[in-house]
Amino acid sequence: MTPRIRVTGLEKSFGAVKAIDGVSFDVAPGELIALLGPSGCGKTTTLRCIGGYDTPSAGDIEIAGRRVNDLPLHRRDIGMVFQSYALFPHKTVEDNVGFALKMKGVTRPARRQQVGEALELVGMSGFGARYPAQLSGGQRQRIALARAIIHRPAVLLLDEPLANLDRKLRETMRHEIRRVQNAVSISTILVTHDQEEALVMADRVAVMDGGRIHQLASPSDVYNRPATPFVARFIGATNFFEGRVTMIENGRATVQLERGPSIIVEASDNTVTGRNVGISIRPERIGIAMVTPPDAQNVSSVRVEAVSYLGATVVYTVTVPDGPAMQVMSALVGNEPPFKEGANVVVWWSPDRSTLIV
Amino acid sequence: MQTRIANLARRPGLLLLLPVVVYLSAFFLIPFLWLLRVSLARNRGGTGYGEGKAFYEPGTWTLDNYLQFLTDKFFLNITLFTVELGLMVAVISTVVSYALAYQIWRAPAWLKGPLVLMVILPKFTNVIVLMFGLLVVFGSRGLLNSALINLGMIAEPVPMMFNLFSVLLGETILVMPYCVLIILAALMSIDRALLDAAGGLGATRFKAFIEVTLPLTLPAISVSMVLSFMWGAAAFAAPYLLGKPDLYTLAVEVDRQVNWRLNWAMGSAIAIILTGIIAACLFFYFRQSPAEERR
Repeated sequence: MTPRIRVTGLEKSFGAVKAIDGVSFDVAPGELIALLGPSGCGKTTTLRCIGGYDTPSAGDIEIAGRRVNDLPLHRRDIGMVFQSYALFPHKTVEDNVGFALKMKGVTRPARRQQVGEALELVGMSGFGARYPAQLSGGQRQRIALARAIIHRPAVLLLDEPLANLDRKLRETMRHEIRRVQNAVSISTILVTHDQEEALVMADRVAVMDGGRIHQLASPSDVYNRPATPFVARFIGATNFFEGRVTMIENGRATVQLERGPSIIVEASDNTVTGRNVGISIRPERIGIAMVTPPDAQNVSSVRVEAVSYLGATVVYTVTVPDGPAMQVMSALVGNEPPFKEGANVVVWWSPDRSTLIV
Repeated sequence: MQTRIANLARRPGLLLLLPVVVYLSAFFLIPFLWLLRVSLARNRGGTGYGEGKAFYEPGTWTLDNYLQFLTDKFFLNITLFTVELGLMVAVISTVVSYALAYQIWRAPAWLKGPLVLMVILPKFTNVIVLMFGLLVVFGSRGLLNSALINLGMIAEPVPMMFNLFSVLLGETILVMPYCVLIILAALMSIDRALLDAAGGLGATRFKAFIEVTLPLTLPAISVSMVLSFMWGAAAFAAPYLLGKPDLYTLAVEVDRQVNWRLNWAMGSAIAIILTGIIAACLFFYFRQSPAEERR
């Protein structure tokens, strides 16, 4: 299938600062890609270049097989939801949602039916006569979404669409946006700094920093197989160690940590003996117990230094004697955490749960 | 009354209104009531010079001044022209100011400050100086005509002063800075994302202007219209200095009645009528526009 959106070698400089430094990716038909990264990573600038709100310094943008670099904003066939929603305050909901159709010359009676359908799709039927000021934040969000998709654009761009909503509403709207996007099957690019949002909503996540894409992969790959130390640290919490590969055997590499024990991890194709590598292990992928279970690998005896009770889970900070500290998270089956500060326990993890980052 | 005083005791902040109340009473309300009183007095006739008496008959009550105003074609023509001038100034200065404010709004950030400064610069000058400045540029022997003659584009100076053009020019220059600032403030309060949104939904720049920018600046346009109408209808300096008798306004006529004909009663009556016209304009404006704008 030909991609709906293709971005190749995109660059954007503001003076001496490179906001985007060589970004390339494809979006398949109906796919939702999240651009995820800290503020200033270039994700919003990338989105604005695709939408035609900014002009790239270099690189190509294709929408539906057509190069759109030189197309003005109003001819790009996009729909965009802004962080502030940018609803027209002087127009009713109906006129807001029908705006793109009006610009195409569709008459009011003909618009009315499509507006009605769009409002129904976002669950806002009957709100057509209201003004934006008379709506709640979540309702405005729905109207902004309806307005962005009513003309069935080739691309839907979402710029931090949930940033202005409270937590509960945000979780609802994640699924709402995805439901609507699936219903109309429009290739979508979502810009967010909220990793949970990216992991929940996107088919693929592009983790960005410093104007580059560090990794573009499925949510589970981004989480479980971070490609760079930045990705490992940015997505979720992680224990990150540095060490040197001392041996490779049967697809497993033995890594001597700078401080502390040596551990066994799954080797990647480009792992070589003697090389300095990073290792990322998620806190919840580490087992913790009083006694070592059979078949456990990478076992260390540790001391519990701190216990953070989080309700559903508990996070222990443990230290290996003469070694690094690490975080271990476990689900709470009982009401109280089983281990207290100062307890001597063992931790372990299987080699395929950790990621070797070259 | 008791409760009002109690209210004041509970909200001592209201005392801060006192200077304003005193100031407005002393310098506006009381003189205005006195003006109203004089307008209802009989004209004294004669000059009254050297007699140590007022230029009206104190203690008399009559509507003669108003009746004379309403029945004399001379005054009605002046009134008509005054309203016409107000309307012309309102339209011209609002249109020109909108264009100017729009360009300032779209200008790069570093240029905005200097442009705004240029707009308000005329306000740093005395009105008389400003009006004679126009004479220097636009007069028969002014810069513009001399330049055109020297360039051989015209043989005789084009008459640009002491006609409707010069009166409108002078009055517009006086009002425009306010209109530009009012409209610019409205433009700057528009969320740029709205224009981005309109563009993304297929609106050309022109359509985005018609659909978004213009409606959102409509309140500012009407304020600008009302303000410049009031200013234009009360015009004195431009018609007096750059006009001629058939371009005189009510304000000029007040001056003529008071200072030349020494008929203070008639002058006061005209002043009251002029105030009435402007007050009526304000009244209709406030009735038309709801106090709370939609947002």
